Amino acid sequence: MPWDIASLFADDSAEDRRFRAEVRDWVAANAPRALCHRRSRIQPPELKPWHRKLFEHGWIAPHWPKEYGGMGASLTQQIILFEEIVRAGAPTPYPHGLNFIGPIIIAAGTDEQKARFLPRILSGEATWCQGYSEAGAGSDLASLATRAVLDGDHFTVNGHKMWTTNGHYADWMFALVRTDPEAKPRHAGITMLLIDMRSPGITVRPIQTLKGDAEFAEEFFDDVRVPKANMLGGLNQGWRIAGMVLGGERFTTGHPRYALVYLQQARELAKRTGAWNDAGFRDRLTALEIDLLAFLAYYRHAAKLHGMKDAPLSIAPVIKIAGGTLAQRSADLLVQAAGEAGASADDILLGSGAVNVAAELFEMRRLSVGSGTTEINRNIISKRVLGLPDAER
Amino acid sequence: MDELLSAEQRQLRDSAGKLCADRGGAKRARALRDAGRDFDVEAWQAVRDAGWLGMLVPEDRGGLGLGAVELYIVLEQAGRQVLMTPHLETIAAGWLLAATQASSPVLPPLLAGERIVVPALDADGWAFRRAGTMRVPAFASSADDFVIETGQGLGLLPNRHDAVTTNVDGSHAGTLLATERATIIARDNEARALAAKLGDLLALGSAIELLGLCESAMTLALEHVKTRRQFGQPLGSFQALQHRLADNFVDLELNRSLLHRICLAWDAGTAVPAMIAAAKARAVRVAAEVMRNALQLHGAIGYTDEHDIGTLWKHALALSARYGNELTQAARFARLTAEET
Repeated sequence: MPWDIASLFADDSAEDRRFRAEVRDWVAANAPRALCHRRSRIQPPELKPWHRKLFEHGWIAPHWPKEYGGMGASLTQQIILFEEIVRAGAPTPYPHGLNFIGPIIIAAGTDEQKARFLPRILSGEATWCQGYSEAGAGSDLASLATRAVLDGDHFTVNGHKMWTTNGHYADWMFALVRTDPEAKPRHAGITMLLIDMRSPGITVRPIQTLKGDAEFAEEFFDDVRVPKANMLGGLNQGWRIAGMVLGGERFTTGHPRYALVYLQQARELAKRTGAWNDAGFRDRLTALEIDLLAFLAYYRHAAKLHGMKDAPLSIAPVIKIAGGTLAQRSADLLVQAAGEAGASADDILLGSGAVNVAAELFEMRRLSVGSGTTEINRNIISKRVLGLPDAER
Repeated sequence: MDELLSAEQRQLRDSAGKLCADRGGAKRARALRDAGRDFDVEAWQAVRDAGWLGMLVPEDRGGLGLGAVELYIVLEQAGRQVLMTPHLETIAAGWLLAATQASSPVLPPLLAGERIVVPALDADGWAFRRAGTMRVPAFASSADDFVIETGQGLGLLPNRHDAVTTNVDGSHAGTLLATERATIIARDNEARALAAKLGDLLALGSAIELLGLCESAMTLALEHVKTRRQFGQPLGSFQALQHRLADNFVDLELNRSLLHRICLAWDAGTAVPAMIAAAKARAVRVAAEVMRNALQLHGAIGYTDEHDIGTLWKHALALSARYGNELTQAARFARLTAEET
């Protein structure tokens, strides 16, 4: 497609364009070459120097308020920073500390908690993981069963967390635990705890993904003592607290970057393999490029609405459904473009770099499962946007 | 996109919404069709009085001097209410006549709603042709003049009411048998540039009206599944149906943003033909899906002529076929973006 994400449908002001140029130059000069355009996952320890560099330059937390060490940047500038890092092929920092728990600590933490946790999230010294899912609690998160019992000034935690990205690298976990098993509705009995992963009684086991790397882990809690001072928000307030994420996060996780890259690679690859000569291939490429254009327009539109008081509730689920589906279908086409090599476990060399088409296909599974499946997001639209009724019993 | 409208634009939306609700509606479109007419005289008077016909014409030429975003606002409402007037065609022709170097004597009567001018050009600015003859996709009975592409450039051809055929929504298409009596209004490069832009405007406008039609179809489908009960439940409580409606909603949200962004780009002078080709192709594809689902959810009543959902579908078919259907526009998009890589 002849368009550049920087210009197409973007709302960049003159100031934004200046910022974009500044970021582009700085990233080109400072992104570690060894980390750029990597096909395999970069684990947190290897990412730390790059995180540190962004931190030292003051660009690690564009969405945090200045008083907490962030940039206090507009959403447009947050997106620009993200886009320019991605454009250079450099990795973006992991979101669990910076985007997930950081903003919640800012919104709901005590002064002591803020002073204790925020600086080490910014500097990258502390790696965080999110302890929400369990073997029996996925889409039905409110059914989670990891139990925390308050005994004086400590909780005692017993249970099992699963599908925890970076669980085996994390220094800290923010976890939703059950503190009231009798509560009705069930989500009224859940509390948010910040758990030191070096506490006695925690066993961590990495889980290998389809893609072949150990992206996530499971954790067993056996009488783990967690100080009451590490409770975030009040007792049984965990569900509400977990909902306090700023929401700007969806503009980085939901960015159309995967489809943009895959469709470009599919063109290039198809010309090498001859798939380009098939009318069917080109028809499908055209259909996906048209969908990409529409999604890009929606993305810019949604960014413009974000933070407005009447911003529609549908933004997050639409980005999740449309963006996830588009990226997965684009990865499918990339595999088709590779022809017989579509099942190869090895890299394919392209003029613009190497690509492992199957690995990309595997990686894209995450988009429709992690942090809310496509089906859960369709439920949200059906019930909360379209007003469709629940089944009568 | 409503969140981003100015106070004036909201006012325009509300007044256009009222006009279309008063003078449009599926029932009226059916009555018109049954009477063998594709032109609603009463609605036309209201459209003229509201100043729509000159909305893209500069104020010093007697128009309102508005832009593509205002066009979007008005056409979305017209689509929602199946307004059976040549408003899009005349707005586009008015824009054309005001954009040519030579001032046209046809512009004042066009703005007064007295002379209906309908383009017979496709989205690439070429005449619609079938088996060597030139076709007019809509309003072939109502038009006084057609804008056509000739060997000398763009011309205006008086309507001789040659060979008129009827579309499924009651609109009339026609064949132009003799084209030599056209009055040339633009030549050479000017003609080519204007013809291409005119085609874009018609493709964009028809895509916006399709969006409005789909919005109405969604409203009907949602009302139906919330009230209709089977198996002791409202239909809308079944998850299989909920998820299909959710997917339709997502697709329409994307089209709304795409069309709105293109209109902003049009007004800023940064719109490119490939964007418009993409928008029309996607509008047609999504309309087919939304209509299919809405018809299905209505069950047997959706197969009757008296229900509005079928009328919406038929008008959507007509708007889909004219000014480039899905495959024509997708092929055009592919052509326009082929040089890349």
